[in-house]
Amino acid sequence: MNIALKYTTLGLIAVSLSGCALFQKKTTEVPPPAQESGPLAPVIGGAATGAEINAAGLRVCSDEERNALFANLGNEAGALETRIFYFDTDASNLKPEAESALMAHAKLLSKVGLARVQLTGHTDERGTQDYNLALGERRANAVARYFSAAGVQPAQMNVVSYGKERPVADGSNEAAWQQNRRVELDYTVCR
Amino acid sequence: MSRLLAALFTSFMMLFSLPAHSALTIEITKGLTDVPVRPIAVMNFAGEAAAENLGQIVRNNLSRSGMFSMIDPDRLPAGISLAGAVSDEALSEMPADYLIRGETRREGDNVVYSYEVLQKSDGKKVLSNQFRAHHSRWRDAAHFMSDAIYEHITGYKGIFSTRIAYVNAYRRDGVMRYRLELADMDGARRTVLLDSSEPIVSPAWSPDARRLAYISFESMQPQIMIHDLQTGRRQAITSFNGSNSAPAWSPDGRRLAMSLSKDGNPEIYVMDVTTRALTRVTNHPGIDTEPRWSPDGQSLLFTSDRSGRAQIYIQNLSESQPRRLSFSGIFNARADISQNQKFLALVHSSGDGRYRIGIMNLENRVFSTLTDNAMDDTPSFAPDSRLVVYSTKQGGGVGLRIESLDGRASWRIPAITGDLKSPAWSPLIR
Repeated sequence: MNIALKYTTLGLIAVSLSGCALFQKKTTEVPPPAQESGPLAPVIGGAATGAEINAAGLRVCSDEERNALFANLGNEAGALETRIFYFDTDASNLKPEAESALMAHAKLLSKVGLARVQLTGHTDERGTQDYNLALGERRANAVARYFSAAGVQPAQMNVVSYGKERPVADGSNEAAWQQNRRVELDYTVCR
Repeated sequence: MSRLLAALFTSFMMLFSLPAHSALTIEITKGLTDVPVRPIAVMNFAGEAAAENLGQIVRNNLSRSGMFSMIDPDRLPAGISLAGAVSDEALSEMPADYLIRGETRREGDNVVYSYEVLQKSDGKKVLSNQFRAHHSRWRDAAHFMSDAIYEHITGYKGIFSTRIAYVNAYRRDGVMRYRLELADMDGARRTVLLDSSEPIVSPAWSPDARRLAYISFESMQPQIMIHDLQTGRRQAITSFNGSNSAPAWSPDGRRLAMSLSKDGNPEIYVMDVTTRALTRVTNHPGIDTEPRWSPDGQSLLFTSDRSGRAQIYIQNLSESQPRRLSFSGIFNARADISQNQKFLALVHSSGDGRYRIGIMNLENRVFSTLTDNAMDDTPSFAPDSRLVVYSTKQGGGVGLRIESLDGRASWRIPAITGDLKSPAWSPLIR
């Protein structure tokens, strides 16, 4: 009674059975070795390299560059200080209180054709990761569509959604969720 | 490592004192529970490598399954020892239906493992096996033996050799980082596959368990990557404008279903992995995402908010219109289908503010909740169609839990640092 099964490729070798096994159950294949790539695992991205990288690792204009750009709008530049726009639960419609700031950014971008922005969509923690990636994109696109309608060129805008992966507020309550349902507007080119 | 194992053991000993799951949960999944809970005793392994605690790992595995009540080896009759002959009289006196013993012997770089299962009723050796493996692979050997013993006694597939891929989000110097990791299904033997400053989301196993597909933001835009686990080679397979998300391998491993918004809004596509040819599956202005293949490869399940809120739909690939599957509650998303095609696990909200794991019985369409938490996500079936791993918010962070559909098994994969999310249970590893 010898079931010398070969597991050579798998690193385990069944050897002859001794004793009086009365009946045999078919054994499973032996698993391959665990992945031991730990020490060799690629590492992407190091420590942030200064003030010109935002929380999402994006290269953004310095405060000076941005202020110089904003000066193009003269008296209306104050409205440009609002660069985070909030949304209701599971919704992507722009809120009335965002209007004046959105209009100011649209004007500036229309006026300075070389300027570029990144629109980053985010959600709260409720729901699934991939659904929230889509919902965050829908929010950022709502801002992009508003800008387009106001004359901003598509090439001036880059849209990305992080869904619920980059919350700014911890906690499972409406106060935290409210802060996390947002689109962030970052100036990436300020010429 | 031993501290981790000790913590694991303690955590699931504590679980035994928790109240059983609701009767409803058990009702919808009956048929899985026709195997009685049997008392078994697993002795420590005899031999020179016994310090590696093989008996303990086998005991933990079998205990964790919830299919056995574990009898302390100290309660066994005096005539039963780690090795050598066992008298019929001693066997008939033991307070367990089965006795499991094992022995190891070092042979150069290898260890020879022998184990046997003795049945109380007739005193016979019902399973006896011996194999040799490199000494570094004692943990694989313990899981391999656990699978064989479990299958022999219950008749169900053992999943102790399977692994779970997941994402560990942690802080280094105050900055979030993301690690793609693998661990054994008990949380031991963590392996880091990738460490990135940008998010990693939704790892998905190829059916041969040799590759993972996942979303990486490392280029500051989402891309679907394919990561070869043997070579470590990584390749971006999609970098379209907009979202590139929710990869899912077809059962034949040749295609990836995914959600892309390159044409304006998220739609389901199927990509041939070799030719990269894309076929569009859905066409609707709503969100269509989180595709999963039916095990026959003929249909795709997916999440869509075309009715107003997220619900589960199924579409046969030869047809142009999907059919809605979920009707209970205000939010149902990210369905995973069991290998036996009997159950869907999904993220469900009834409207009470909680997001829990729900189970839909596809045979009778009965829906039930598996968990009683507030913030669950990403359910993934084990290949035995019985266990589900998912992420859940617990205390201040997010961690992984495992539950069985029959309510008998429940354990946690502890985080060493940060959050654990996006779990994906591997196929049977061949």
